[in-house]
Amino acid sequence: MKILLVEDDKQTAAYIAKGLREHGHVVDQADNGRDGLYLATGEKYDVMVIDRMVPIMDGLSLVKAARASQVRTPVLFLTTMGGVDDRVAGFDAGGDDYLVKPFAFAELLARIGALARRPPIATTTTLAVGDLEMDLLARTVTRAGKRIELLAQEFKILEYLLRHAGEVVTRTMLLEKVWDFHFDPKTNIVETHISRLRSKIDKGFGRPLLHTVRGAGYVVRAPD
Amino acid sequence: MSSAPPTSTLTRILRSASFRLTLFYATLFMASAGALFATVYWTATAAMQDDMAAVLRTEAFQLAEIHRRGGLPGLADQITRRMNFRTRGPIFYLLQAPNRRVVVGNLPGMPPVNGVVDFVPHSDTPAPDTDGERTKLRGFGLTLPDGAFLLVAQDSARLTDMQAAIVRAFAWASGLTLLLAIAGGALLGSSFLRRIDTITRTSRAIMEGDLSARIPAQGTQDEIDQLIDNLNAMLARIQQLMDGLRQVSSDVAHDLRTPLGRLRQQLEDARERATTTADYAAATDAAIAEADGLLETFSALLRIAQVEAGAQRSAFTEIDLSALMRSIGEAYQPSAEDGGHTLEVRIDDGVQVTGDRQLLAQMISNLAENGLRHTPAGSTVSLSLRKTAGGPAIEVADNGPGIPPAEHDKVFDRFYRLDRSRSTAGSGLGLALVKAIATLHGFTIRLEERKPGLGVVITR
Repeated sequence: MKILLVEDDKQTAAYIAKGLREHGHVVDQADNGRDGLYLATGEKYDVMVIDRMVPIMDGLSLVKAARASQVRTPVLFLTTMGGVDDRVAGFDAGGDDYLVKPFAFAELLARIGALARRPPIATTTTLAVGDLEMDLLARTVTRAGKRIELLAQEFKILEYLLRHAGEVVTRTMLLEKVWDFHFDPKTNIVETHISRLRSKIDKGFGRPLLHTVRGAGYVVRAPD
Repeated sequence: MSSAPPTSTLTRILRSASFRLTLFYATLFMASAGALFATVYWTATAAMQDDMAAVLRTEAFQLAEIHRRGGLPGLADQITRRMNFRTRGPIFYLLQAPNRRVVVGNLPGMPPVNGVVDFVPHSDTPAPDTDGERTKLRGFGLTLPDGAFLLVAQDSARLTDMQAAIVRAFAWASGLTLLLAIAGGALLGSSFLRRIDTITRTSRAIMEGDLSARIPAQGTQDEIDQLIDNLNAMLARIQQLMDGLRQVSSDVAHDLRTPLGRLRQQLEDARERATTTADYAAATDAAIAEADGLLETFSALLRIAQVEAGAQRSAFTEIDLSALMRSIGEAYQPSAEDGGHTLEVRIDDGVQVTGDRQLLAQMISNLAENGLRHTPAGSTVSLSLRKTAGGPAIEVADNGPGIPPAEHDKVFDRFYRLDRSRSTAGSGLGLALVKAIATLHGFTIRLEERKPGLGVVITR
């Protein structure tokens, strides 16, 4: 993937760029908003990772200007603030996701992946991985034709995982998308829900679909 | 901070906004009075002139009629009589024969003119009687059918007298008005300045560091008082923010030093003693965990400060608290069960509040987590929301060991931890954040002793 990184802190920028390159991405870097906007409007990127506070032109203005120039590339904001207003301002400016610093690199990688392969506004009414099928209208789940009863929140988790099948989904992403929790609960609520979901969809079906990626998150993947 | 050079009180009054306003209105008033004066002056003058012309015309035509009947001698006779027995003010006459000889009259001869004529009699003729002063006369001339010329005239003094009276009256009135306006403006300006001075003095005191200073209001509830009230409210807000900031910095100084010191010690230790990669990995892991803990404490502190600053209030929306609490209950159900707890959820339907969804979610989650974390396995934690007359009542209760009543107030302080919790994970900031969020939403929070256990009650 081709990624634009706009970050003024040299160490952070080098750390992110190095990590992304190690994962096979092409990274263009800018250390201020003006250069960032120049690249964003001139080149074609799959994802743009933009720090909220960069010199000359701040991240919000950069994205507003890029969106005004018909640049539709998904944007991930990096922020040190993470307050509610802050997040809303980011979305209003045209950002698609945000990540509060400091973050684990796996988190950044997972979010970039989710943004780049953003599914088209889904008109599909069914999701499927392997022999697992989800009917979004009837709100039913079957595996190998067998009906599985899920609680509301388990259904939401599975739906999110299926929409991002094959991609790593982190614990924070689940907290945000399923519960709309933009803070870190001290309790293992994600882990316990995942473990219940796993016992319902994988137990007794032979090869598992829901996998834990150590230090990163979870992935739903069809057996090879 | 540069301050303006000292100026005299008079200069300041002259410069004051209220004085300038008064002056502006005085000028405006004078201008309208001037227009009024001009109108009165011209209208009165014109009316008087018309009146005089009418009197003279009547007189002239009356005499012409006498001339028609009695001829020149009859007219001369009549004029003489009228000159001697004036009944209608001083009227001057001149009757000239067709050969320009003055037949009778108290005016010098002149070339015949028909109609209204203004003139000053020649100085060599004797002044007409009465006042003796030579004044402008206004006359009405008429050439009679036989060629004789008749002139009837009247002194214009009446007119000029009236004009002078109007001018005089106007001069007095406008002088007085101007004087009153200036005096009033000065008075208003100085009282205005006095109040502004108070504001200036107070703000200077505040700039010099006395954040508790407030501007005294006069109690009249006028515009300046309203301004003062607003400024005072703003000052109170600033002081509150400053106090918050000071609190955060002292908290940071106090409670972040310890873990930072620990972190440094671990790294130093690793550098001196670690010999294998595994040693380094373990030391790095420990350092990362310590750093994460620090970051977490730091962001919790910032969050509390943010909430206490109240900026979020502008983004408040209508929130279905019932749905929110139910969803939180569902979220914690599996972890509660895994930890051997029973989580009871009792929620009244349709409870709406105005607030910040994220913060309310965090508040209730923190309380639920506290309940689950600080009670032994087998305990019951209950999450309830009731609709009461006074508004929503949120309650998170457990039947665990509880908290001694003496410590009920202290648990909401930053970094306060019960002795028995010191060994467990946690920053000691959870309840401080809960209290900040509750306060932001206009709720009051208190602890209640349950036998056994503890209840956290949040009400309006």
